[in-house]
Amino acid sequence: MRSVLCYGDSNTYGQTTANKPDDRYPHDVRWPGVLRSLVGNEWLVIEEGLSGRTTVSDDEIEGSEKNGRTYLRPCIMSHKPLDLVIIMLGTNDLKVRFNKTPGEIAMGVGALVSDIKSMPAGVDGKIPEILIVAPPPTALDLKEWSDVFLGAQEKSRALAREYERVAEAHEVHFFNAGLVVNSSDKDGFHLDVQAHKDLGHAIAEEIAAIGWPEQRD
Amino acid sequence: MRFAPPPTVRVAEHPGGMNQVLARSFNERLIMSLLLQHEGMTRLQLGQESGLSAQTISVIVRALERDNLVSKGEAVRGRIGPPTTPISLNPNGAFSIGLHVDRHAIEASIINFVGEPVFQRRSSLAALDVQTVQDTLTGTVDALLSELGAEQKALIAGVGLTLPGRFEADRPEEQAILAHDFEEDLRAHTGFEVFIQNDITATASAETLFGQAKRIDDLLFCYVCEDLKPRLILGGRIYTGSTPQISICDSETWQRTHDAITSGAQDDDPAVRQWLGAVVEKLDTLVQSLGKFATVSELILSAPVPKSITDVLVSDLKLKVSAGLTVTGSQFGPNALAYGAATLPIHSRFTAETP
Repeated sequence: MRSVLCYGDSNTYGQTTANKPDDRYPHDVRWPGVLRSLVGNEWLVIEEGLSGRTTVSDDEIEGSEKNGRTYLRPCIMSHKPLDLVIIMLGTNDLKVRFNKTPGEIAMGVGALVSDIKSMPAGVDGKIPEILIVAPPPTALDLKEWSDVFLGAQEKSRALAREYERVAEAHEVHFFNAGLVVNSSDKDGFHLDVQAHKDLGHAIAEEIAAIGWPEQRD
Repeated sequence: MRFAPPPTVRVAEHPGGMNQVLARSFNERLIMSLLLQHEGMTRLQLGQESGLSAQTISVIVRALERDNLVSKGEAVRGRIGPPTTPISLNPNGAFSIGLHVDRHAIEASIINFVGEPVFQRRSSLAALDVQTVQDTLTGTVDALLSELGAEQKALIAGVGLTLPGRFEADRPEEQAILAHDFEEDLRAHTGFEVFIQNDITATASAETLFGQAKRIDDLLFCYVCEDLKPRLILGGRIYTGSTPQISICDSETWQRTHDAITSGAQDDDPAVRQWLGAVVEKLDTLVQSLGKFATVSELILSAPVPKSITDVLVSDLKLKVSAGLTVTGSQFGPNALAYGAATLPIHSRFTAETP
């Protein structure tokens, strides 16, 4: 059985578009669950989504536990050996309080990739495969989140390109989730049920496309 | 750990066109070479064949996809298709022009990225001097280019130019042709990169890239006309240098025979029969003497004649040589030399080896 760690924010956690705190889709509806239903006989799919998680920043309002970098290391150590780590972060870094450009957000993802590569977290002490997933752009209307995400509409549309550059520089896999899903118009930045389903299917294809030699025990 | 902004890479919004191709890394060329040899490979197969990591393959395939050099599979959403869809070169990802200077004409051809002929043209040479050759070359290349749309023109990898190895030593105007820098003329006229090579070496290299020799490592390639021009290919490498040129008949006889073939004469024509007999005899001698120091089990024959004549040549030769030697006729047909010229830019710009 191979194992994949899905490291993300509320859109991996499965936060609903209903705009109720901690309202979460059932496990088989969120995209890691969809992925499990597709590849579950070959893959252990580990869900590691947290609402509000950033790439590398402590959040002075929501708390330092939202920092994706400080939690990544113990998280990976808890789950190793891993065949694949999927990182889908960056949406929360668009919040105006972090004052980051798209390029800087991408550099944050690059820092996470460097952290993973510095740990022998793969099988036989190797480095696991790493897949960077660029989150879909936000909706143009961010409703009551408009001031929190001031300017995010434009910045989020530049993320995929910046992420791809980082993926090339670090030589890791890349997928642009914006090719298959949109943020819901309901709240402007979460995925609805259909989007989780579509993303789960797309990620399953991306995983298979990487190409895995023979089945390991 | 690096905190500097990542370096600029090719991105879809800023296509660099063919000019960027020269800067392609060795690994990218390696992957393209594999895709030129095998029709459709999965990322896993590419990794196993090249020894590159899955992540490196992933980065390279994305870069090739962006430049439209590989097809995006059947699907979907602007990226590579399902994993079962193998990756193939996009036939329309690049084009290449070939010009071959013959004693009587300029043979020209455009091929696509997978070696399929797109256009062919033959322009007679009114005289064999530098000025006439120069004018005919530029006229021919202009005529070829006028067949292409603007989009295809932007994808031209370059111009391949081939000259025969031998002109008449006692004619100064022919020697002047060999000495003249047509390469620079064409570069200035077209703005494309120009690659120059001996005609037989170029067509032999075309056989290894797109033709019958695609998956054969050791073989003897022979081009026959008035002479028998062999190239030995060992370990996928073409031995150039001073190769023997074995005379089959004199130029006038060949010209008459070739004219007869061009106007439809088959192997029952006495002149054609005689030429075929002479070719088989010389080839047999060559193969026998070669066998004394190198074991080659494949012979590929190319000649500026229609397929029906090549087929007779192949079957006649099979009767003569030992069963251990496989004889195959080239599929390139009468335009093999222009085709070889057109292959030069593709070989030089996209593959990991140089011809």
